[in-house]
Amino acid sequence: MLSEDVLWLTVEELGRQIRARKISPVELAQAYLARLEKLGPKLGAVATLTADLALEQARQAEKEIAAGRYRGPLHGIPYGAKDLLATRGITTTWGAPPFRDQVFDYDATVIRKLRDAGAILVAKLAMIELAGGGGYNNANASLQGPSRCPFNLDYWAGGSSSGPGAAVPSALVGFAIGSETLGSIITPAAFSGVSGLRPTYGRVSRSGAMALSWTMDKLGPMCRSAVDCALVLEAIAGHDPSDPSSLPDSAFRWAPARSQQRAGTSTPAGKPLAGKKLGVLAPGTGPQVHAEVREAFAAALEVLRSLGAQLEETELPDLPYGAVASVLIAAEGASIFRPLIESGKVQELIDERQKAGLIASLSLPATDYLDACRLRTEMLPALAKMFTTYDALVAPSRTAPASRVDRDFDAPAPGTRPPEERRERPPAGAGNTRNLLGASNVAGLPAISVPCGFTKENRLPIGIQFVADALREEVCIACAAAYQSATGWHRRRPTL
Amino acid sequence: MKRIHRRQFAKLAGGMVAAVAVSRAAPSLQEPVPKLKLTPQQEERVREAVTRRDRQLAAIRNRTLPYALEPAFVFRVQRSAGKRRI
Repeated sequence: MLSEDVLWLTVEELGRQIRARKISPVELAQAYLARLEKLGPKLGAVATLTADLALEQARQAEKEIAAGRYRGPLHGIPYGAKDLLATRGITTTWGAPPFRDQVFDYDATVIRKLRDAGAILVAKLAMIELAGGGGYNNANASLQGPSRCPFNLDYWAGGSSSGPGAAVPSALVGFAIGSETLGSIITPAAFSGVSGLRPTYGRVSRSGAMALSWTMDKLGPMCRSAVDCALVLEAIAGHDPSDPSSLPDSAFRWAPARSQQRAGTSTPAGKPLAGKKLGVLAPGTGPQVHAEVREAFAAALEVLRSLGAQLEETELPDLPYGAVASVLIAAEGASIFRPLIESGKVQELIDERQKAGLIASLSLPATDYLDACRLRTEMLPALAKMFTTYDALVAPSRTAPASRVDRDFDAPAPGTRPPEERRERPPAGAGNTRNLLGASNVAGLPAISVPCGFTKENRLPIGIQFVADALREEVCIACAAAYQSATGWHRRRPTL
Repeated sequence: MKRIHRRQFAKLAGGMVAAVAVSRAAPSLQEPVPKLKLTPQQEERVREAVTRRDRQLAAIRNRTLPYALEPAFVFRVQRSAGKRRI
């Protein structure tokens, strides 16, 4: 019988014990399955349990490891996949009622790669319907109901990778795979206290994943530590001819010590970020920024400074990132879901704002889409130039903690001012958090969000994000890992 | 419940006069069977969604883009995998 403490271990720690045969993959899978069954419904985390497949994969892993055929750090580790990844013979609902019975006869490339790495699929995890493509207005916009923040069940886990957000910090799985088009990994990572990595666009194959926006969709790991994200990325990255956007040189290797040695930049003890210059995008003093987010971020910057990082305030080039991101998603999503909309099946969706957004997107002029694509051309070098000065950009992951599950998103977040007082635009050129989310997604840049505090009153997680240049995930992961080596926010457990 | 089809989406959602004109000029094209019905409240929500979108689009529409600025995607011709002429 495994102790419950084992379930909270990181992938790195679990992997070591599995390799040493101190933990049995079968017992581990059984323990996570039992926890998924017990707590999954309470958290709204699960779409489908895959118990039979999991136990079969676990038995195979156990046999291989016993025979000395160890595949790597994910061998024998149970995980959950957001329910937009195709899994052969298992329901894949896309979180949406019109697709409640959808079954594919193939596995997504990511699922196949994880199987090859020896990981064990224990559950398909809940998500916002259609990954929120039409623009949703509350946490209930999911076939599986609202996913809840494990640290306070009255609050949302974040979306659209809401199931992974709820499941990872509750130790229902060893790690999870989420997806991001515009904030869908970073937001649940921030709201639920997860370490979530959004890889460079084209780093991880999208083949077999629900498409919302062909030019914006990314798949990435959601874990209990930054280093875990690196280990999972190693397994899922790499070129895939079945995804036209997959980059040819997209394999990823996590070897921070070796790459530092090669670059001749070994750091003094206790200063792992010495020599790293970080561009700080201050959250500002606007009414949309929660006071405790500001405080937690300021404290996190002090930690980064103590780790040797050189910090400098900066701003993003003044370009309409949010508008461009929205137009790209609306136009591509309208094309993808046009049959759903025109057939009338869109009416089966749960969220009224999402329905209206999808219907409205059918009339988006092509010229606006093309202008957005042209502005994207302008944004790419403007943002790339920032990384000639900075190793990474750092900002709060979100300006406010999670909202209540029973409250519409357009209602004010706790600790911020009501909407009528929030109408003023942030000053032009201000490097605010929302801009960074749009900018980094439009440019396909990698980012990681890790917990950097909790609100005092409601015990809600707060996140900090590091954004790096394209294909430089190791930089943002190294910053986050260094931060986690000096703090314990990512080790906090919810009481469930 | 009111029946609505694609042309009406465009009208309802605004700004698609040109597309409607083009589709009228091509009567041989088969119209999709209209199935989507919207309630008055839903029509209002669609109008609101368009208004929100137009507010956001102003940030793009108000910009003058350089003439030579091309979209951030690349069309490439594909060579046949078959015989090549010598």
